[in-house]
Amino acid sequence: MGNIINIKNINVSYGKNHVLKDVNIDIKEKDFFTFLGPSGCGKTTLLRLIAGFEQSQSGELIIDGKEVSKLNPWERDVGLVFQNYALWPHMTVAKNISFGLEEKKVPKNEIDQRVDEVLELVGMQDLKQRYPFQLSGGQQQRVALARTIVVRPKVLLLDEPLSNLDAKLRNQMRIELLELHNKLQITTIFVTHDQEEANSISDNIAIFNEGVIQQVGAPIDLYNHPKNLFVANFLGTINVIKGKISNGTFSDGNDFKLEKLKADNSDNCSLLVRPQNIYFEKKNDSDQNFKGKIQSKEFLGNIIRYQVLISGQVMTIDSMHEGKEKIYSKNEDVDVFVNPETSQVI
Amino acid sequence: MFKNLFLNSTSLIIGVFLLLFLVIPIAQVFYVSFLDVNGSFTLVNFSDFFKNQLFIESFYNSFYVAAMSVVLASVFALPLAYFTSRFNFKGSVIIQSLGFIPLIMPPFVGAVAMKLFFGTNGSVNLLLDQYFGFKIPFMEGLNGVIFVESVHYFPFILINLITSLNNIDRSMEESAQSLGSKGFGLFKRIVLPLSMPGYIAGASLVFLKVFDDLGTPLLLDINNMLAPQAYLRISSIGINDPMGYVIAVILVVTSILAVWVAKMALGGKDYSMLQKGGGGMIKRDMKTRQKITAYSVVGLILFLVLSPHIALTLLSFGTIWSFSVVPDAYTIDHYKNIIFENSIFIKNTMLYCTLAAFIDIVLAFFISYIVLRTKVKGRQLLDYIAMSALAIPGLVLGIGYLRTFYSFNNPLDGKPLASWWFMIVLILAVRRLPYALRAANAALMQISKFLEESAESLGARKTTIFRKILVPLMTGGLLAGFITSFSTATVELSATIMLVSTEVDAPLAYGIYSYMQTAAGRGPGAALGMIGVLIVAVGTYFSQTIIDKKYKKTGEVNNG
Repeated sequence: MGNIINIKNINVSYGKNHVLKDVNIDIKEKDFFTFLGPSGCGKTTLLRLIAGFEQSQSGELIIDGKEVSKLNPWERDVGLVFQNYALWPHMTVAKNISFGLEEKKVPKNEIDQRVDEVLELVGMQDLKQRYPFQLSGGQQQRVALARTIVVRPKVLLLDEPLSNLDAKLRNQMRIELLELHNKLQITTIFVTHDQEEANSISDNIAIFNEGVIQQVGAPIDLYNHPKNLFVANFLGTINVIKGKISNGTFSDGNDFKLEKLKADNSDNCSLLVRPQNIYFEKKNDSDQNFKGKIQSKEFLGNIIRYQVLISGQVMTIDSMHEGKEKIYSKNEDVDVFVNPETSQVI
Repeated sequence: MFKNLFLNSTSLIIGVFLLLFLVIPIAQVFYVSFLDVNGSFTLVNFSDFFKNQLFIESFYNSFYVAAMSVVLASVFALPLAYFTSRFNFKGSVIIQSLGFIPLIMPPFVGAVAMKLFFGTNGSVNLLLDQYFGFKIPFMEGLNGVIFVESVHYFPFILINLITSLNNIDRSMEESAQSLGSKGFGLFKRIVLPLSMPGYIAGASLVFLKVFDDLGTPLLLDINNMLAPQAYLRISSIGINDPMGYVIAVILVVTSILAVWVAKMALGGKDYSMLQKGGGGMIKRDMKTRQKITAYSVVGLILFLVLSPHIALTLLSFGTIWSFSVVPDAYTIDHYKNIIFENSIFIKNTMLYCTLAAFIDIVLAFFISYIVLRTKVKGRQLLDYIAMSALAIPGLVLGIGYLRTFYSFNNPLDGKPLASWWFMIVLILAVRRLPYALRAANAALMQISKFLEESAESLGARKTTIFRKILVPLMTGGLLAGFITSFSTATVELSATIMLVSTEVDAPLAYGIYSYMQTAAGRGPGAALGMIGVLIVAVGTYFSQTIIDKKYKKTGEVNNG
């Protein structure tokens, strides 16, 4: 499948504030693509740029083979769902949804039919005569989605659509969004600052920080192979040990040495190990043994999270809580094992 | 036990006060309008009203003038609201400050001066005739009332409309654009309907103010409208003539109907509260041609809005101003006159308004405390009654006072209570109570309940809490309320005009009215008007400053 969106060398500044720096992203047709990053990283700006509500100082924005940078929002054929839903309070659900079709001069009977179809799709048939203020948050969300997809845009843009919902509803809407995407096969760009949300829903993710794209890829690839410390830290907890590597052996300059790593020699690098990849028992032949001392423990339900002092550094170790495993106490001396294959040097 | 006794008795005293000086006078007006000469119930007064050609004409005229004032005020307000909310426009600040001008000067004060400016032989028409050979009948008959009222009241529409437009979330427009909407279609389908609540709120306020206004038509010699008719019936035929009361009832009922119609038109919707976050409307830069148009329109409207002030200033300093563009010569004699020779109006006003404003803040403090902090039975009723004074035309309240208190004699001098100067203080206090109450409510809402509770848990009694916690923390708010009540009361005419029995007891507003009756009195009348405007302007400025400071100060305290 080809790309439907090509973002090339986009730069956006507000005065001295450079909010998007030389951004390049290609988005495949029918992809569920997520812009992920902390607040103020530029992800919403890029989304609004695609929708036509922001202007770039340089760069190209190509949608479906056509350069659209100079086009007005209403000429772009993209649908934006706002964070606050932006339902028009003076119109009923049905009127909100038919608005875009009326603007496109679709015949009346077709409008009625399409409004009914999309209401059925989002499960809101019975509420079409209600006004937005008579709807719950989740229902408003569905209407906002229906209003946008009924015009069959080439690209569906979702600006933090789940952030106004409570945790339970958020999970449910996440599943509904995915189902809707699978049914309609509309290329979707989803903006969020929640990495768990991004991981669970996306085909591909672009991670933003301070206006710069840090890494683009599938969620699992990003998690397992972060290109830099920002990505590594942003996607979950990770142990970072600064040091150098020579001939496959990483050293922190003190006692900590991990051998048989696949990485080029470097005098200034970091070793990255996820907490679940450090064990208290040897699991593989290639595991390497270290001595440690328990500093503290936290019970998190499915795991127990220990802070362990290893070679002068405190590292986080997650141990699955299965009910039968040994529970360590503070100041207890332990053996820990690290596998070079699940460790990464950057 | 003590606490409840104290609160209940305070509530009772306030309740009795409101009953005596607000509820009963209004009820009297209604009651008398349904009485025949023998004192039994009848509808004949109302049927007489609708059989009388003059009354029908007056009713029609009042309605026509109020409606046309809304139209003309909209013509002034709409372009200004449009410029400020849709474009990056430097004139926005000027436009926003226009909003305070009608608060500073009620229309009747400038009415005569406007005649000299815009009348058939006024400055503007003399110039028009000289250079273009035609005249515009700005001030001809009802036109004059419509013109003066709309110049004064259009900011009510402007302020409400701008607030309404600013409350529209940017995403409302953007989502429509994203779905293919643009230009006028977008304005018509999204922006206009969303700003309707603000427009209707402003328009209905203008309608009410104009419909009830007594001073402006009186000063412009227009008697065939409802409010002047009511006044003339009572003041010339006497307080037993039922027609004055019938007209008063019709004024009240029409006011309530107008509010009700506005409510119906809105369908109970307030769009501004629905959306959070995001910014206001998308603002565009103006092209040169648009800028020229915008500045010309703003300039013209600014001239119109300021014209009563300019004209009043000229009149107050002018010697003779007749058949000329500006007065023949200038003098400060008029000011000398009203400050040194006939200072009674200013003295009376100072005394009445100080007393009235003091009564207001004491009542407002206790009412707001009882409503917001206690569970005293009927506390909401207390609040509603106190606030309802806003909706009652001053003239109607004045008629009610006259009727109610005429039959009781003042034990001090044996004359009817209604002619006692203190009744003017009371009517001013009742009329301005809503202003003080609003200020007190705002101040009390800023104070966290925990501050009182912590004092209570340390053993403080209610009276100590009032004295040491609430009053000091509310001082700013109460002071702002005092100043607002005081300064707006100085230019109150419609309620007091009914109660002034001798010039010795007359306040400033009445002085303006009586001076303006004669050509020779216009100068001193205008000077008196200028003093009134000055008091209100300074008062508005100070209360605003106090409120601004107050918000900054309590920002840290308010965590409840």
